[in-house]
Formats: sequence, structure tokens, C-alpha cells
Amino acid sequence: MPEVFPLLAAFVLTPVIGMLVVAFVPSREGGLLKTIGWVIPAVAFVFAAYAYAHFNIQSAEPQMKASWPLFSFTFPLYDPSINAFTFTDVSVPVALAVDGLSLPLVLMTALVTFMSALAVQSETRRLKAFFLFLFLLSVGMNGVFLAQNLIVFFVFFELTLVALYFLTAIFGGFGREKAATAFLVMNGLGSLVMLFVFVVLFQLTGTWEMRGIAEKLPLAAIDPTLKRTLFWLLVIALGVKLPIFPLHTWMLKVHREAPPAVVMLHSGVLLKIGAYGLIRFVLGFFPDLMPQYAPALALLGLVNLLYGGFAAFVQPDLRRVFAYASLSHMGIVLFGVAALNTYGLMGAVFQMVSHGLISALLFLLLGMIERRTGTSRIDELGGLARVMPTIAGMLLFAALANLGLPALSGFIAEFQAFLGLFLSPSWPIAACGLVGLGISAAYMLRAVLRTTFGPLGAEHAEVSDARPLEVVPMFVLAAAIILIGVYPNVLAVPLQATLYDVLGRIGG
Amino acid sequence: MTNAIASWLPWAVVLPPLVSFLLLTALGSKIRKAAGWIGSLATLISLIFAFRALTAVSGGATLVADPLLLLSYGDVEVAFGADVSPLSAIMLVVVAGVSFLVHVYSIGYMAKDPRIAVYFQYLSLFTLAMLGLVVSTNWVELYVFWELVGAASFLLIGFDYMRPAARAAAFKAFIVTRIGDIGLFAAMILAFAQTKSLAIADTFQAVQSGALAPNVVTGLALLIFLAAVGKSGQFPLHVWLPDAMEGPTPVSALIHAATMVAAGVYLVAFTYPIFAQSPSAQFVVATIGAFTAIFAATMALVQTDIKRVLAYSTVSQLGYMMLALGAGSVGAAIFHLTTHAFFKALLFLAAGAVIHAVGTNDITVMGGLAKKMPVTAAWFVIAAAALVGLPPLAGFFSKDAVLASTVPGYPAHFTAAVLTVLLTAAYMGRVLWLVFFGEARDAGRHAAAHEAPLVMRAPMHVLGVLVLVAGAFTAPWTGPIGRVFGALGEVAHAPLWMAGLTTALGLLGLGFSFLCVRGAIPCPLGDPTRAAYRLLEERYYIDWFYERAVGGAAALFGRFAEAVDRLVIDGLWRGIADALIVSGERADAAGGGQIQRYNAVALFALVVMLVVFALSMKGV
Amino acid sequence: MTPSELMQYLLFSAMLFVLGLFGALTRRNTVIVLLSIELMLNAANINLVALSRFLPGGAENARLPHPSLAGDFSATLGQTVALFTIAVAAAEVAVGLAALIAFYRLKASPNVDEMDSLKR
Repeated sequence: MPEVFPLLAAFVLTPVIGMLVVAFVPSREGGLLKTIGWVIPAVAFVFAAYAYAHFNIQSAEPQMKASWPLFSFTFPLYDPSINAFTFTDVSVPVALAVDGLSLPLVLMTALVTFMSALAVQSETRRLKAFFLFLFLLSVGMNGVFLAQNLIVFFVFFELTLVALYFLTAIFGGFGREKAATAFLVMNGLGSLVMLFVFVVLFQLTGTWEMRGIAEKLPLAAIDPTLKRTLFWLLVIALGVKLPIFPLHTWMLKVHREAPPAVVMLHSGVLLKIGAYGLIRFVLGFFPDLMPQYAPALALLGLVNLLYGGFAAFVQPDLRRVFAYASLSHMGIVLFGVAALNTYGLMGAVFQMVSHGLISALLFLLLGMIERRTGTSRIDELGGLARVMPTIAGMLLFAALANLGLPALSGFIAEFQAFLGLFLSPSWPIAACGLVGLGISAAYMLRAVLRTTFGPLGAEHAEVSDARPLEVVPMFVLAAAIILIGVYPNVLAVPLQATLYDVLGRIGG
Repeated sequence: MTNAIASWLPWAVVLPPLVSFLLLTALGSKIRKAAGWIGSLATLISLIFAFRALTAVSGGATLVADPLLLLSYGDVEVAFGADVSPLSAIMLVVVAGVSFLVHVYSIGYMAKDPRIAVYFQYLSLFTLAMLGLVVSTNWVELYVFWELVGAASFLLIGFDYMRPAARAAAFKAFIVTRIGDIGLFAAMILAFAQTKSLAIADTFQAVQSGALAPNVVTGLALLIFLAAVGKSGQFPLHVWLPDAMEGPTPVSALIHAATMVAAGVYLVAFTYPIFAQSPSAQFVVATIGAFTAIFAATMALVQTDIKRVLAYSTVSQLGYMMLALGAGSVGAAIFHLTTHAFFKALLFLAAGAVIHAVGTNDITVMGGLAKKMPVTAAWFVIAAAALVGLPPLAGFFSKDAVLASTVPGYPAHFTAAVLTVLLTAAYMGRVLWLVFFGEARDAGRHAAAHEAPLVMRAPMHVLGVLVLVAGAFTAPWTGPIGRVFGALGEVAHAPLWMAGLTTALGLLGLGFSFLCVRGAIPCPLGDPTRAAYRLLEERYYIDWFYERAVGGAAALFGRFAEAVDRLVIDGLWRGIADALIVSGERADAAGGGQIQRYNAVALFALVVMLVVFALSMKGV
Repeated sequence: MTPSELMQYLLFSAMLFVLGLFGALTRRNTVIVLLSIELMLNAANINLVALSRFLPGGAENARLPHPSLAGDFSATLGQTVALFTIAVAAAEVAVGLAALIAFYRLKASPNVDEMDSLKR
């Protein structure tokens, strides 16, 4: 491919093409829809892999820039030095680029989307609508990590919101409408707060460009109270998405009700947008405030970690266990961010990618189990290793990965996040967090051993193991988890330059 | 590092099990029959290379292999290296050797199991992790293999996954050892925080050069020891090991007697440069070791499951090794580790043959089996005598080396260790008399009993010979083996009075238990209704306490968190939503559909806003 | 002209606006309400046209104190917008009267306070 090939645009537009194609396929053509359903994400994944292969690891700058004018307007900005308003031309292009921070997430997103599209293959009802919304979600997810200015980011961010709302409300379980509404309201409010902060940031700096804001904002003479307020509003807005305790209840509902393929994307990718925003915006825009508030963020992380862990320990339903486990693991992301050093940030990004993969695998398997047994309640399951050895074995693998077994991706993420936080001034919080390592083993193994080990219930004696096609996404995700766990440099090398750049601002 | 020799040998030792693991994972159930032979062959290759490594380092040199760089940025450098020092060479040979024998034995033992391929897959994973652990050069590498060892052990304990007891035991084993592992996790981070390097050698150097504060060194040592306590089943984290006997018996022999549980001892021996700088940490190690030795021995007295008796005996013997380490004698500890690996593996394999023959673990229904399976009985008796420490068997020399190491400076520990000899003899005697001699208490089972097949007997023969000769390993005339033990430092030799004392105590214990079992004398612990018996039977209520207090507290926290979630947080959001709905309805009703009223309200609001704006602009 | 003359225009426009507002909020007859809305729109138009003449760059070329909304297109901008407004107002009246007639056929009343069928 030549240098000028707009790779990132192709990556974002592939699902749009998918939507157009799906729109013209009659809904009775189930087989064709399914084929389109996995081919499009596969193409997007190829683009993402190509971007990874051609990424320049030396550079902290955004790369492979692609930009189209979207709109521009003239805006009066008050200039205090001459006590007058000056008109400024502000152009807002659809600007996409990738840097070390977005690259791993883009790759993870593409992979998880691809795998979840494969997981839908056994779905039957309302396929056309499903794939339409799935591709819409995919557009949002593909774009959100690549956006270079706040407006484009916000547009992609909202796309995911709309798509996930419909995917949950139409295709979910019994409580789907309630869950979808709770999701929409909480995330809508979060978006509102975020938009407000974005607008104020624009007024203060006169640009929507992320890099521009990151450069101007720390230098601008701003009322400290305003700055602090913006900081915390941004934390709240992103905390809804991450989620941070006590803004998390919507996420439990979505985990419980949405169809498994959607939860794969939700837990795997969408939660990471919050974490990404935390690094890109909170850390990127307010490097001068971070040292002051890092302990508070670490404390929030500790609450997430332990609260989610202990709650997961008593849940009667696998979905709820995994949901609380996600909450708990996002605490580790907060640890990493609050550490404010390379180790911690590295750990946070590793945890984002690793949890994305592991969570996707867990919900993929959960979907298979649910479809076969009709339940995800722990007390109604048991002994599944006898009738579905492959699925049960992979579930155990995913559980071990999730609880941080070394040589798998979860460990290297936890290790770096803890290492970072221990080397920061908040180290006592990290010491308390060590309890979380024990509790995560306890809740994961409790849930998984009770479903896969032990006596088999008579009502499940006839269920079948995974079919060959279903095995593919399991093994691909597992392979990715092992790859990152065994050879972490695969992520660390492209990340380095960008992280040093982000951290360099904190010192200065 | 002195005398470093670049070599590919360390990797050659570690790789075969990896290949066999990958092969068995990929081929899975397609190669049921061949699985055992693939695993055995891989371990045999490892064993051969381990021997070559042992001869290469017997002069005190260290083999250094090229490391693999896996993660590197800034100060962080996770490079998987592979070094073989005399200490790790001994461990490699012990691990590969026992593992090979257990692989072969398992071919017979597991022959009828439909999941035999999975079994050997796990066994290969374990061997890989254990060998990797021994050659580690980097804290992260060490931790990775350390946890993988635990994971493999967890998988093997739960191998018989349909039984709730196996499931519970696997869970318990993982959680309890995990608590210890957190210590190693913290130690690794502490080491990095202090030295800005993850290489173990750098930590040793910093400790020895006095660059670290004494408190830090003690903290580091104790954190490492916490991990060792978890893995080696030392008090108070010993509770998982007896339950781990739910796994197949060959696994108990390999993992929960000979190698994995010894990993804790190896870890302390390996990081001895850190312990050596901290007398208080050494004292803690010695005390925990001595206490565990006598404490576990008492519990072994009343167990009726043959494997559980051996499990408590293992805990007790590991206590001995820890005691030797605490007393400053790495040589004695590793010597005892080696001989213990041989005689305890032999005991388990023989016990496995017995269980295989009579189909139960309960010693109270066995009896008179010596007539039916003489070979097994002979090896069991010899191994038990080695465990008790009767001359001239291996256990006699190594145990006396441990005892001798405690004589200067640790009188109380010495006393406890000597008393443990008596207890050991008593519980082993009880098992011997109940299982192999006397009357058959279950005629049906007795009649069906038979000697094990050759593939199971052969490993027992090899181990039996080792039990007979291993006592001489520290003697210089054994060539490379003697030299390599010599490289670990002087192993104290017990004075004659001590040898006489332990032998006498051992014979006393055996004789006492013989009379007890025959009913010739009233047993102190013969009556199950007595409080002392109950106390031992209930394992001092420690398991009970953990389940109730720790498990209960975790569940309580969980329920509390969930209640907070449901009532407070969800309630809060729902309350806000309800309040908004109600106020919206109110405001809605107030308008009554009159457009002019709406506009008037809007106008009023605008005016208020303008007034506020005007007032706030006054200062500008 | 001088700034005080601009003030006269602005005052006149404000009075017109208030008159319209009063009418729109108080009269019951929908036709009069529509008329009042027209008054308010025209008040805004007067403002626009007057300001466009008096702003810097405007026909009167008078300098007003800071803060100045500088820009050389302001002269024509206000008048353009005023023309826009007139066009929009015409359209709005057309729609409004159509709705009124439809409503009158339904209820036989021109009163705005009876227009609450969206609520009932």
C-alpha cells in the first residue's frame, strides 16, 4: 500500500460500508448477513494490524494522520490583554491519527470486535438490525481512540452510546429496557458533563485539538478553582464510563441483561474508553494538578478493587461475578494512572488491553454456556467440565488469566500497576491493594470451579461441547492473552515514546 | 559472579517439558496411550541434561545461559535468564529425577483414566514450571514460574474434578498459597524499589554490600519467607497441604511431597544471601520451622487416611528444612530436601500401590498387606525407617545434619526437633503396623489386593536404592555429587551422642506404637472421645477458624458491599430519578397547557438571569 | 449622527418590544397575539438596522467605546439579518394563521387559552 493510503480512515469507514451493505440485504438472508457480519470486522482488523506493523515506535507524535474538513466557524474570544474580543477562525476537521497510547487499544478493539462478530454466528433473531447496530457501535469504537480533537471524539463517543442502547434494549434479557435506560441516563449525564468541560476547555484555549489543549492549558493563566472544578468534572464524566465507584450500577445492569456478544464489546472495549480518557484528558490536560490529586485517584482505585472483589465473592450469577470483577479490575487501571510514572501508566494500558481480551473471552464462554444450559446461575450449573471439556477448560484458563496468573496478560498488567503505585507517594494504598490479589483469586475460582467442577446436574447431561467454528474466537483470544503475557514487549515497545511524552509534562 | 561459564545447558534442561506440554496440549486426547511416554521421555532428557549440568558445576562454578528479553523500558528489564549454580543443579536433578520416576509410575497408575492425556499435560506443565523456577535469574521470572508451579498443582489436585472434595481442596490450595505468593509479589516490588533492577543478582549484591537498610533487608527476607511458608505448608499456612491429597497419588508424591512443597525451602536457600544479613529473619525462619515440625507431627498421630498421615509428615519434615535454613545451614537443608524427596516419594508411590490394590485410603480397614504385596511393603518399611531416621538410611544422615546445625545457639529449637523424632516414629509405626502387619480387617479388600505392575514397581526400586545410598551424598568420595554438596558450605556432622539419641528415640517411638496398635498398652490417643484426640482430629481447629473467620469475613464484606450497592447507591440514583420525575410532573401540572403562562414564566426567568448577570458584572 | 441618536433608536425598539411582549402574554384573542409577536420581531429588526449603521465600519462610522465587536462585515450583516427576519416572520404568520383557522373550525373560538389540547 502506498504512503498516501488513508489507513485510519479506511479503518473507521469499514463498518460504515458494512452498515450500507447490510441495509440493502433482505433480512431473510441470514447466512449472507452472518458472513458480512464477520468479514467486515475482519477487514477492519487487517487495517489495524497493518497500522501496528507500520507504526514508528520512536515517535511520540500522532502518526498516520488523516484529516478532512468537517466545519469551521468564527468565534469571538475575549482577549484580556487588550480587553477586547477578537474573532478567531476555528476549524474542526475530522482528524484521525494514532499514537502509542491509542495503538494497543485500536488493535484490541479490532480483535475483540472481530471475535464478538464470530460469536454472533449462532444468533438467529433479527440479525439485520443486530449487525446494523453492531457496525454502528464499531464505527464509534474504531473512531474514538483515533480522534484528534474533542468534537470528533465526542461524536464517536456518542455513537457508541446510541448503538449500545439499542443493542441492549432490543436484544437483551428480561430486564433489558430497564438496563438500557439506566445505561443511557447515566452515560448521557456523563456525556453532558464531558461536553460542558470540553466547551469550557475550548473557551480557555481556543482550540479543539487535543494536543493543542494539552500544550496550552497547563500554561494558561486560569483561576485555580475553575481548573480544579474542570478536573473533577472530567473525572466524574469519565468515571461513569470506567466506571468508578459509586457510578457503577448501570454497568452491572448492562452486564446482566445485554446479549453476550454485546457484553464482550461493552466490557472489553467500551469501559476502556473511560480509562483512555483518563490518561488522554485528565492526565494529558491537567498534568500540573495530577500530583496533587493522584492519591485521591489511587484511593478511588482501591475502593473499586476491594469493593468489586468482595461483592463478586458472594454473587449467585456468573454474569454478576464477571461484572463485579470488571469493576475490580478497573481499580487497577486507576492505580496505574495514579502512580504517575512509566511503570504505572504502562500497567494501566496493559490492564486496559489485557482486561479487554480476558473479559471478552469470559463473556464469549458465558454466552456459549448460557445458550446450552439456559442459565448463568452458579447454583444451577456444575460439573460442566464433563460435558463440555473445551469450554470448561477455557473458562478455567480465562479465570486464571483474570486473577493474574503469571505468563498471562493479567499478571504483567497488575505487576506494573502495583510496581508503579508502590514507587509513588501513594504506596500505602498499593499495600492495602495487595489484599485484592488474594480476593480476586477467591472470587474467580469460587465462581468458575462451582460451574465447571463438581457433580453434573442431570438436566445438563445432554449438552454438547463447542463446535469447531466456536472454538476459533476462544483460541484467538487465548493466544492474544498468552502472547502479551509471555512477551509483553509486544505492547510496551510502541507505548514507550508516548508515555514518556505524557509523563514529561508532569515534571515540567 | 565467580566462575561463570556460558552454556546452553540450563535451557536444555528446561525445554523438554515445554515441548512435551505444547505437544500434549495440541494433540490432546488423540494420543491417549502415547501421552505418558511423551511426558516421560521429555523428563528423561531433562534429567540427563541436569546431570550434565551437575557435573559441570560440581567445582562450584555457575552455568549462565543467554537470557531472553521479554519486557524492557526504563529501569524495568524482565529478562528470562537461566543460571545453574551448585544449589540449583542439585534441585534440578532432584526435580527431574523424581518427576521422571513419577511419570513412569503414572503410566501404570493412570492407565485406566480417560483423561490420561490431560494428566500428563498438567504434569509436564508442572515439571516445566519447577525447572524454570530453579534456573530463574530475574525476580519476575522467579515469580512467574513460582505461580505456574502453584497453578499446575491446583490443576492436579482438582484433577478428579467431579468430586466436591477435590474441588474444595484445589480451591483451598490455590487461595492459601496465593496468600503466601503475595509476599513474593511484594518482595519483588520492594527489591525493585530499592535497587532499580529486577535481576536477583543485583539484589544480592545490594544486600551484601550493605547498600540497603537493615530493616529493608529484614522486610525483604520476611516477605520472601511468607511465600515459602505458603508453598511449603509451614504454620500458619499449612492447611492446604493435607487437603491436597485429594489429587492422584503420584501427584502427591511428586508435587506435594518431593518437589513443589520443597520449592519454599529452595526459595529460602536460593535467597539465602538476603537472610544471611538479617539475624532476626533467620530466627523467624528457624522458629516457624521448628514449631511446624512438632506441630504437624502431632496431627499426623490421629489421621486415618494414609495419604494424610504422609502429608502431615511432609509438613513436619519441611519444618526441619526450614529450621536448618534458619540455623544457617543451607547444606543441611538441601541435603535433607534431597533425601526427603527420595524417601517421601517412595512412601507415596508405595502408598499409591497399596491404594491401587485395596481401593481405599483408610488405614483402619487395611492390615496384613505385607503378605500380599511384599515388594511394596519392603520399600514402604525402608522408606518409613528413613523418615524416622534409622541408620544407615538416607534420612538418618540428613536429619542428624539438620539437628547438628541447630546445636550452636538454638537449644529450644533443638529440643523441639528431637521430640519430633519420637512423634515421627510413633505415627509412622502406627501406619506400618496397621497397614502391612497384623490381621486383615477387611477380608474382601485383602483378598483382592495384589502387587503393582512392573511399570509402577520399577520407579519404586530406583527410589528405594536411592534411599539406601543417598545418606552418603555429602561424603567426598561420591565424586561430583559430593563436591556439589560441598559447594553449598560445610554440612555439620552430628556427634555420636546425638546419633545415638535420635536412633534410640526412633526405636522407642516405633516400639511404643507397635504395642499400642496391638493393644498391649493403653494408648494416650486411643480414645476418640477424649479432648486431646478431638483437638488433633480437628487439626487444632485452625481450618475451622480459617473457613469461619476468614472465609466468613470475606463473604460478610461481600454481602455488605452488595447491600450497599443495592440499597444505598442504586437507591440514591433511583431516588434522584424519582425526585426528577415527581418535580417534572409538578411543574408540568402547574402550566396547565396555557401557552401564555409558559411564556410569562420564561420571561420571568430571563429577567432573573439578567438581573443576576448585571449584578455580577458590576465589579468588572 | 451621534451615539445619543443611536440611543433613541434603541429606546424606541425596546418600547416596541415591550408592547409586543405585553400583548403576546395578556391578550386572549389569537390574532392579536400574532400581531404582538410581529411587533416584537420588528422591534428586533429596528435594533439590527440601527446597530448596523452605528457600528464601526457602519454607515455612520462612529466609534463606540470598548469592547468593540470588530469586523468589516458588520455594516451589511445587520441589514441582511433584518431582511431574513422579515421573510421568516411572513412565513411564521402564514403558518400561524393557518393553524388558527384550523383551530377555529374545531372549537369555534379564537381564544388562545382554550388551545390546550396537547395537554389534555
